[in-house]
Amino acid sequence: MRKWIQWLWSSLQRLAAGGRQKDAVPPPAVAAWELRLLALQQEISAGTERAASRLDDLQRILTTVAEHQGQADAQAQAAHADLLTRLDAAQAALDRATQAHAEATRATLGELQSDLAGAMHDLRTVLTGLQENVDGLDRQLGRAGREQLKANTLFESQQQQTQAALDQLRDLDARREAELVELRSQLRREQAAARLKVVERLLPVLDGLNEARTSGQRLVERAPEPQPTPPTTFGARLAQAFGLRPRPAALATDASDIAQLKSALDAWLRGLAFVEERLLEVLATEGVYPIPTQGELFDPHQHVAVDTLPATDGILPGTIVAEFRRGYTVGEHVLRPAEVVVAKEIGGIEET
Amino acid sequence: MNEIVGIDLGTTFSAVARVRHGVPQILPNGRERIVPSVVGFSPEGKLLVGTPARNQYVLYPELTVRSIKRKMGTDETVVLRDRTYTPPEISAIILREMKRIAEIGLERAVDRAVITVPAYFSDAARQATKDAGEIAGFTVERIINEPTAAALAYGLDRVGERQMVAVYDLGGGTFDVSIIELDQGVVEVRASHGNTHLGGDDFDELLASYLAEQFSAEHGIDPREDRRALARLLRAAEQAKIELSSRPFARVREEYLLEKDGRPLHLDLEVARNQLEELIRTLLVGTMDSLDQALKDAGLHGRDLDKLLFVGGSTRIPLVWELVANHVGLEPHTEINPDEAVALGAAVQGAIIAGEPLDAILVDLTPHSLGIEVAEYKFGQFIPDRYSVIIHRNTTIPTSKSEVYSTLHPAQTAIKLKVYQGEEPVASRNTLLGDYFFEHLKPEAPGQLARITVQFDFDINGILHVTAVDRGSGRKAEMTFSAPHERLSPAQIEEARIRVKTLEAAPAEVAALLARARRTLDSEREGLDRLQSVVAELEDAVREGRTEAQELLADELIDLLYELEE
Repeated sequence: MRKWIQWLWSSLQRLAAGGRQKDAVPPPAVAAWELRLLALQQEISAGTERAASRLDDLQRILTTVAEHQGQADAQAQAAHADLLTRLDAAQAALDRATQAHAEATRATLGELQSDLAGAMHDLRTVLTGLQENVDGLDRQLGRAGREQLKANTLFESQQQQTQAALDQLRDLDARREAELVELRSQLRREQAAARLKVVERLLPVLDGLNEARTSGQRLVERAPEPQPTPPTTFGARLAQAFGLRPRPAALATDASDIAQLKSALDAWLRGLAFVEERLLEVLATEGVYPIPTQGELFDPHQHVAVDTLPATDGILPGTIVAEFRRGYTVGEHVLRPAEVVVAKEIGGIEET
Repeated sequence: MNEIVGIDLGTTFSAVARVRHGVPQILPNGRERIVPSVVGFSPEGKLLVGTPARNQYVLYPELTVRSIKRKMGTDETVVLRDRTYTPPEISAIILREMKRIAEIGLERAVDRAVITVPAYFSDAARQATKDAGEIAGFTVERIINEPTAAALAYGLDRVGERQMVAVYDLGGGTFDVSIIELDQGVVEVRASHGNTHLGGDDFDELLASYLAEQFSAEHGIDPREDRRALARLLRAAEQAKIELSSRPFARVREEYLLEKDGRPLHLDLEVARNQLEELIRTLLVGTMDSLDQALKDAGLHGRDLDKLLFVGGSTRIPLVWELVANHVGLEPHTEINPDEAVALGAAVQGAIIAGEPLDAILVDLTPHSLGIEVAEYKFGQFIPDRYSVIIHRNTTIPTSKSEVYSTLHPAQTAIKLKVYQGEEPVASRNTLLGDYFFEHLKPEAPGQLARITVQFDFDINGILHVTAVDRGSGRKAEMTFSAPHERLSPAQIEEARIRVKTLEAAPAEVAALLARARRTLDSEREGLDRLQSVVAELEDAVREGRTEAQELLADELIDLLYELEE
């Protein structure tokens, strides 16, 4: 409204200014001018009066306008208020409608909700059932796992045992193989050793045979010559010593008979020597040989000194003068050393 | 690094051994496994060691030295061929010979050794022994006691628990008994006692004298006056003594032993074991006093002993076994050759020093005693169903032993021979291997009790051959049984026994679980406390045979393992 009034006012001023510009024409002379000025002054005064009256008119118009304006404003306000009320009514109607709608919706929703709840409940039941199943399965799985663990453990240990047994067997097999080779050579060695053992056990028997022969030899050597005296008793004793049946006394007294007995004994002893020789030959096939003694120099690697005799003329000290027990060698080894009596220099001076 | 050999430097004999593939063995000198501790010179100045030196002793006593060990640690010296030798120098000659034997056996230079000395040796004697080793060119890694060596040979240092062991050493010429304590591989001699002049040679002489007396009683001439006859008699006595260790009788036959009035005289006697026993009993009873003294010095009683070891050849005499076993109340260990145990043990010590692995000495043994049922005459009456052991358990095989038994009554002409295996004094509580009805028995003289020699031969294959001979009629009965034997060391036998016990108690499942649990315990780091305690509880349950607890704990263990291994 003010704009409108301002506009009106400025238009009016422009109107007034335009009137003055129309009168501003250059004067032909001063007097004229004067006259003209006067005229003008009159005119202006008239104009001002006119303008003032016009202004009053305008003022009046303005007031009227303002009055109208107020009326219009009031009218507008009323319209506005009316509009507002109508809007309110509309709003209320809308609200009502909305409420009605909402109420209607709510009812449906409730139904839906309860349906949904029912469905949910069912679902939950199903779910619980499922969960139970799952739990059951889980437990079964756990049990199965433990069973599996147990089975695995057992299997593993069995496998380990089997493996260990297998390793042991392989090991054993390899060892057996090596052992077999070793055994074969051991067998050969042991066979030789066993044969040697038999031989060693035969040696004392051979000793006995040797003793018997040398003892017999001594007896024969010690027997008196048949010529000087009638040796009846000796002959009988000799015969008895050898387990021979004594001959009739009449024959035994005969000197030639004694000689005959002696030669018989000689032959008998020779036979015994043959038996001994044969036994030695058997030993020789096993590589076992007697150790030479009589007249040999004492060798501590083969001989054992069991006694000494003073070295007499012609016998070198350290020479073996008698054999107590025969010794034997096998290969390079001494199976049994010979037991010997050795001649020994006594105190550096020979004595008898 | 060079191998370290073990040397038993003995009074009469020495031996050298080494460890091969974890097992000690003797290094032989040709056919000899032990070497006489004798040193000498031939008249030409050639040095002789061992058998050759001993062979010349009678001929050149002034050139020969025996038993130098008795002089170790003293100021005594010996003179040989105008030169004076100290005891360590003589011993060094023997040790150098042992070195030579070892080098031949090993085919390489040997310069490190462990040498044994008697437990009673003074510090000076020990030092002298060490000097001897060094003179011989050895680095003497250690001087150890003979009883300690014996214990090492038996692997007793590897048993683990603390043990008191008596080592009874009866050799050819010396006797000593030592009480040693073994704990965690540490061996300490607690006491030692003995007689440096007692041994098998004395027994030979006693038996030879007995034979000589029998001979002179019969023929009126004493064979001891003839050098040659005496030598034969001594040899025959030794032979008989050895035979009587496994037989109740020994036949001594020496043909043409002497001549009297131009007539040959023969020795032909049967010596019973108990006759020999009567001759030597006094000497052996004397060794019991030494044993008691040693126990007393160690502050112990016989019952405190865990083990009894036999060393020295004379411990093979059954009377020694009987006297010592009864006196101490323990069965002696005789599995390892008593002549070699000390050297073998020294070799074991060498291997320990060199850090070589060791196995037990494997020997074939009779795992159970073998014997027959008898009736014992005690307190004026017969007690039936008694067990008479012929072969003691843990005897090395093959072995052969015999005993003589008589009937209960002169009119009795039959016996039932029941052969058992086991350790119970009541025969029927043992395992019966078999029996035999032996009839038509005849006494050796009318009116006497019939006597039967029962011989047990146990061969390498575990077969027992039983031979019974009626001494009166000469009739013979033979039986063969298959008895099991084991090839185990004493420690292994003990271990196996425990193992079998555990195996019997735990089912395979539980055993496997335990094994797995132990593996897990070894490998994992966290959450093992519970596992450990469950394993311990389960083990206890298995040991105590609580089956219900076993099942529960096994389940728990499964759960734990399952969780841990997830």
